[in-house]
Formats: sequence, structure tokens, C-alpha cells
Amino acid sequence: MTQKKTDLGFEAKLEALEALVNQMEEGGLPLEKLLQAYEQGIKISQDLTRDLDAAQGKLMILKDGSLKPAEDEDGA
Amino acid sequence: MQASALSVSDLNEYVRRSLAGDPMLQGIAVRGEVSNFRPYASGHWYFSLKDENSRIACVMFRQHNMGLRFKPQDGMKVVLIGSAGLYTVSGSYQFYAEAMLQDGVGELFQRYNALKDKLLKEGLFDAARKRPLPLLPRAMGIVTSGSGAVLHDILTVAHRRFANMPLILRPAQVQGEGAAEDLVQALHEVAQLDTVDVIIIGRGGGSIEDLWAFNEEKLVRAIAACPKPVISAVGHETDTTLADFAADMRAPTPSAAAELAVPDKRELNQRVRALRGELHQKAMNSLLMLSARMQDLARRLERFNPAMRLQGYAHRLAVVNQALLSIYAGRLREHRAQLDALMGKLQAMGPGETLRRGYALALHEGRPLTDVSHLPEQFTLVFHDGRAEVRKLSAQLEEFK
Repeated sequence: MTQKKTDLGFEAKLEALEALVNQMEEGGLPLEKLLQAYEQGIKISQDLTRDLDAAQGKLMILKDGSLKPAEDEDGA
Repeated sequence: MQASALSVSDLNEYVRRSLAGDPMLQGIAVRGEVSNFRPYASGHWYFSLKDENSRIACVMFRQHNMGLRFKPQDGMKVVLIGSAGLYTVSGSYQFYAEAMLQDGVGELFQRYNALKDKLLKEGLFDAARKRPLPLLPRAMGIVTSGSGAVLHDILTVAHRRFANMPLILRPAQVQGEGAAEDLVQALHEVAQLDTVDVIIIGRGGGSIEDLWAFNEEKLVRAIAACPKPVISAVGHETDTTLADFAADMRAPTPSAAAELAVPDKRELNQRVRALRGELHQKAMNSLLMLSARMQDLARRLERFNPAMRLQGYAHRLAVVNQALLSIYAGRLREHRAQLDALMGKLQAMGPGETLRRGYALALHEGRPLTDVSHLPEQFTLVFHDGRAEVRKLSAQLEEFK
């Protein structure tokens, strides 16, 4: 779960976070593991928030094999 | 020459009469498909009847259509009974229908059904083939006409749900000759883009002929074989094309397709926030449980165990302390009071604090002395700031209440 975290998609990261939270049942984890899980969880949640804002929302037109921005924003 | 020129009315009247006088054109049955059906307020119906190569304008007057048990629709295959003639006002040749019969299943439908059966048997429409849609696509591909309501609806919904979702449109021909080929090519091009994680393919409503490209085998197969999940939005909710069966998800409208493909950003943000809150809460609770267990252990150790191990646990208490501090650093403001109280308690529990309160630990050869009856001649007393070697002067049993 920790390896290649950057390659994980949003959904996989969200699931990883859910798994961490579920794993963290009260008193169930030894201290070191608990702290590890907590730190990892915070990191993933920051990643997730970043993912949501990272995309550049723009309409691109694919024509003759190349991408060009749409002439008009939104509209039609 | 000029004197003998016919008036338009005369000409049209002449043609009308010749047609009306031709028995080949009277009381005949003609088979074709209804298109451009327009019922007028007057009760008369105007429409075209056509086959693959030809069409004829038709009218069915109110007195003839009143008793009809079905309502014709575009694409419906029918047999008309009536006569061909000329409408002199416009000089247009048309068919005057006096009766209309439904011609079983139209030929296009037969082709549709045959292909559907074939692909169904191949397993092309199997539920097991359907891929789940991604929760958050990196980009959404759109294959539809470059102008028109479909694109507009998709863009509007996508923008509302996730304003910064990258959208990639590959304009395609969605009806007529070559449409299926262009749609296949467009789908292929869009699917090749790495970041495109989901694709909407569709067009607006229309007659069965207009939608026909979406029933063509090559497009249906291309959708099924597409490496990215495909959502179809073809025609109106009531139109079902084979493309819809092959797609991973079928949307009743273009707007609905966009709702399926594009997540609601606010909802996702809320989900992440809720998980982070739960993470804080559970970490806190776990630490509180751990520290409660430590306190219990420390209490028992104070009575039974050597100072060395006491110190070991004191160290672990400090670690818990540290952990609590780091959670605190994780901006858990709402738990500040709780944390402060807990940390005070933890500090009070270290052995140093107990010794400082006036207790001393009696040790002999590293083991704690717990009763006076086994007191050796010489032993060690541990204070909070040092230790002393002492000698027994006298000892007697006593009860403490």
C-alpha cells in the first residue's frame, strides 16, 4: 500500500485511507503502528484534496490527431 | 405560340386528371416507412413514406385516420392503401392514404434484431463485460456532434459538478453515410489519450434512420472493445440502440451521462474531510486507551516491580505523551482541553513524581522489598533525587488501613 503511492488513482487512495481508518480501531494497534497509520492517513488525505484541485478544467478539441483548446469557453 | 401556352393551373389540372384516370394509381397498396410525421390541428396527417432509395409525400385526411387504432410514428413500417395524385395548388405529387396498416416488424428492426441476437450470443452485451466507471476520471472524453444540445448539456452538467474537470471533445458525424465509421475512429482516438478515463458517446433524438449509426455492427463492436469505460447517451430515453447494450453504462439523456461520468466535487471533498476527522478521532481514542492501559500497568508496577522496569514504562509513557503531542500538532483543536488534562495526568504518573511525593522505594539486590518480615540487615532506599544504603535497626509488623 505504501509503495508507488503517487501512481495510485484517486479512488485507490480513498480506499487506502478508508482501510487505514478502519484498521485504527480503538486500542487495537500498537503505538508505533498507530502513529504510522495516522501520519500516513493525514498524508493521503492531503493528497486527495490536492488531487481534486489539480485538474485544469478546460474543454479541449481533438481534431486531426491534435488537441486544441475550444474557441469559446463553455457556451456551446 | 403564345396563344396556345398553358396556364400553370391548366397544366397541373391536366396532370392531376391523367393520374386520377390511371387505374394503376388508384386503390393501390404501398409499403414503406413513415417519416417526418406531422399531425395537424385540423386532424389531417402529413408525413412521408419512404424506402431506402425513394420517398413520397403523403396525406391522410381526418375522415380516414379517425378510426385508426394506432398512431403512426417516424420509423414505423406501414402499408398505405389509397391513390397517388397531384395536389394542384403546389403541383406536388403525393399519396392520398385512405387506410393504414402496420407492416409487422419493419425491415430496419429486423436487421436490428438479427444483429442483436448475434451479438448477444457472442456475449458482447454480458454484464460481466461491463467495467465500473472511475470515481474521479483524470479527463472525460466526449464523442458527439461538435454543435448542438447534446454537447451543451454535457458541458453544463460537467461544469456544475466538477468545474475543473478536463474535457476532451472529438467532434464526430453522428448520422448519415459514414457516421458509424467516423464514430468508430473518434472513439478510438479519444480512448488512446492516456488521461481519458471515461468516454461519453451519443447524439440527440431522431428517427430510427437518424440513430442508425448506433446500431451498426462496427460501432457496437468498437464500443464493447474500447479500452476505456464508455457511457452511451443516444436519442431519447425510449430509444434503445445496440450501442447502448454494448456500452458499460447507458444514460437516458446526455445530462444524465455527464452526471454518471463526472463526480460531484463537493461530495468528494466532504468524503475526504469526514475520513480525516475519523482518523483524528480514532487516533485520539486509541491513544487514550493505550494511556489508560499504561496507567494501570504503572500502578501495578509501583507495587511489584523493580525500578528498572518502572523506568522502562515511564519511557513508554513519555512516548505516548509524544504521540499525543503529535496528534495535537495535527490541528486537533477541539480536543485541546481533553489533551491537556490527559498530559497532566500522564506526567503525574511517572515514578519520579511518586517518589517526590515522599515515597521511597526499598530495594535489596535489585528487587523491591514489599514486607517488613523479610527485611534484610542492609538494603537500598531509592529517593527521587538519589539512593542511600541503609542498615536495619529494628522492624515490627503493623497494620495500615
